[in-house]
Amino acid sequence: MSTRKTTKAPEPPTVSTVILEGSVLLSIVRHTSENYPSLYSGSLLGFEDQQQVTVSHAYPFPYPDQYEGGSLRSRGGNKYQKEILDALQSLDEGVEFLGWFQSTISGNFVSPQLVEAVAQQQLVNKNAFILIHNMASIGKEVQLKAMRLSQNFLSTYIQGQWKTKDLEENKLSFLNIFEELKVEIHNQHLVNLFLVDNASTVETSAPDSLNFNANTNITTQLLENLYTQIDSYNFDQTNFNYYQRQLQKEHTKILQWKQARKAENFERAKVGEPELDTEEWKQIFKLPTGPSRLNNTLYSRAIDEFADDILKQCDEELIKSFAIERKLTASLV
Amino acid sequence: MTNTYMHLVRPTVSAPAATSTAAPVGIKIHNSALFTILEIVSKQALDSNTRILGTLLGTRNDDGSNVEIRDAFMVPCTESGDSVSIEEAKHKTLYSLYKKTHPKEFILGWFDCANEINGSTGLIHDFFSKGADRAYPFPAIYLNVKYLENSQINFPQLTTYVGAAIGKQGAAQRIGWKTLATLYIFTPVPHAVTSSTVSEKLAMNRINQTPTAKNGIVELEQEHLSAVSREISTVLANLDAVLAHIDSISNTDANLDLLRELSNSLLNRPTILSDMDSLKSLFQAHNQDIIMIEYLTRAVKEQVELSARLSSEAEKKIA
Repeated sequence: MSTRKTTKAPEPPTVSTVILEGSVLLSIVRHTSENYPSLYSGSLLGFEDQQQVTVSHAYPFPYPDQYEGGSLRSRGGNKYQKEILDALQSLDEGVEFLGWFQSTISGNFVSPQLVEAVAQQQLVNKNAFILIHNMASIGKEVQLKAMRLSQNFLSTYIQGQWKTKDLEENKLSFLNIFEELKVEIHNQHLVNLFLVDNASTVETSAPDSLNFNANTNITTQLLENLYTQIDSYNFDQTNFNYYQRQLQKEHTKILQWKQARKAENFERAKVGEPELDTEEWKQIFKLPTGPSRLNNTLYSRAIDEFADDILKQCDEELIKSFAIERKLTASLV
Repeated sequence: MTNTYMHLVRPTVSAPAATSTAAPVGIKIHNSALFTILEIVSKQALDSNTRILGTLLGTRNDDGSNVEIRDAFMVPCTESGDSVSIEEAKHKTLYSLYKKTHPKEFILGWFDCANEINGSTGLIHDFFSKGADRAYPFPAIYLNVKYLENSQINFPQLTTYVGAAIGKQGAAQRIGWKTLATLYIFTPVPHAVTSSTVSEKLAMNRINQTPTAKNGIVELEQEHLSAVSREISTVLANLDAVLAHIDSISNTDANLDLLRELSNSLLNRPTILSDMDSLKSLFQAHNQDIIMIEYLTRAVKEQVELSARLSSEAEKKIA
């Protein structure tokens, strides 16, 4: 994390809605789900308005990502993004760079790399955002969310210290790192005409039946990912606890010193000598510096996202399980 | 597909790798590519003087008889009288950029939205049939999206063609004023519009609602438990269909076979299904497992939140 100190507050974003062209939505979904389980990301190009952004083109990066946010600021990715933008602008398409899309499994997208990239982009363009395609329920749902970092996060990011005090000051907790934008789908009229004309030939989704999720390995994968995140979280928390203990020790020492000084002053006052400075402890004792709380916040958020997805899977499974059990036992009594 | 096709195979002298079998050429157009194409050709409505065309990208199977159009981009071109000039440099740049992300995909041909096949069509087809970074050595495909008629916008009609060169190999005909090109016969071939992944089909279900929606905009919903409710409604619909069919059944042999089939599959259930107690206990065990996971996950969630709150409180106390 950068440690530069700028007191300039980040500009508040004006955009609240992301409009995706039908072709863009399909292109994103195609690239991310055809390449599942490898992770894919890419850039989104389009137009920016006062209230909304319209995404008219989406281009994936040349290589799959090792981890979420890997390509967003890599040299290769950046170069490719620029070339695409130049090529499109030479076709008289007045498009500009708006943000990225990224495929992920549940809470894994809350990685330091991705957050850093989005934060930097948001400092350049206040309306930048990222589309997160959550592949946790691939084949059943399309979970696409448009996210950007909240103002609380950005102000803390600019301060760059990540002390607990800073989090408190900016009212930042793991729950409000991101803010979500509304996503809407729009089609050009010619596309709409085509859809109306071919309404009957449109396929429905794959054969649906009530299968248990337990047979798919996604729940296992989610749980395993959750363990990993919890382990990282615990490691970070141990460091923080160590700091807290150190701090407490120092505080006891200071308290003792203060009492000693008080007693001494009391004695001195009796003899009529001038009092010694009671604030001198600030020079004698040095408080330990607090560790950065950034990773802790990110891990917390990731755990929260995973927990939500696991709970969702559990809810679905319970509904199915109870429904099937009722039917089976009722029909055979 | 209401159109019928007659499969005529003509030797295409300019494309040595053309399919030699009499098998029909099948063309699959992916929805995402089709939407992009429609978006590009819709510019034609604004300006009837310049010709809007673009390149088709995608994959071929081994013998080149089946192709999938997976993406497309626009290529600028200017048309003056009988000659057409395509901005080759831009075509090349865009293709090399696309090639980086999709190393296994190639140029398949081109598309436009012209009303008729004329001399210029042949010229453009010639451009896409020959040389590096084009469809060569396979025959190029031409996709026509017809939607403009006397500047009236109609429902878009898609037609796909393969072009067969006529004349002696390497022979170039003189068309108009000092333009040399091979002449082509365009034969329509069947095509189908598809989606490749389940996710795409799910997305299509949403996209399909835009024509009837207000302002042509639909929200991309994140409805709670939408997958389960969809699955349940499909199962119910299937049951209804079966019941309706049984109600209206007659005594023909085919129907009797069907009924026999149905009753057999009902009787041939696994033995576990008749053992009520063990079945119940299995279900209970399963449910308990899920509830346990749910309980523990909730506990983790609460813990994390508690820890965040505690550390901020602790900091306040100390400060």
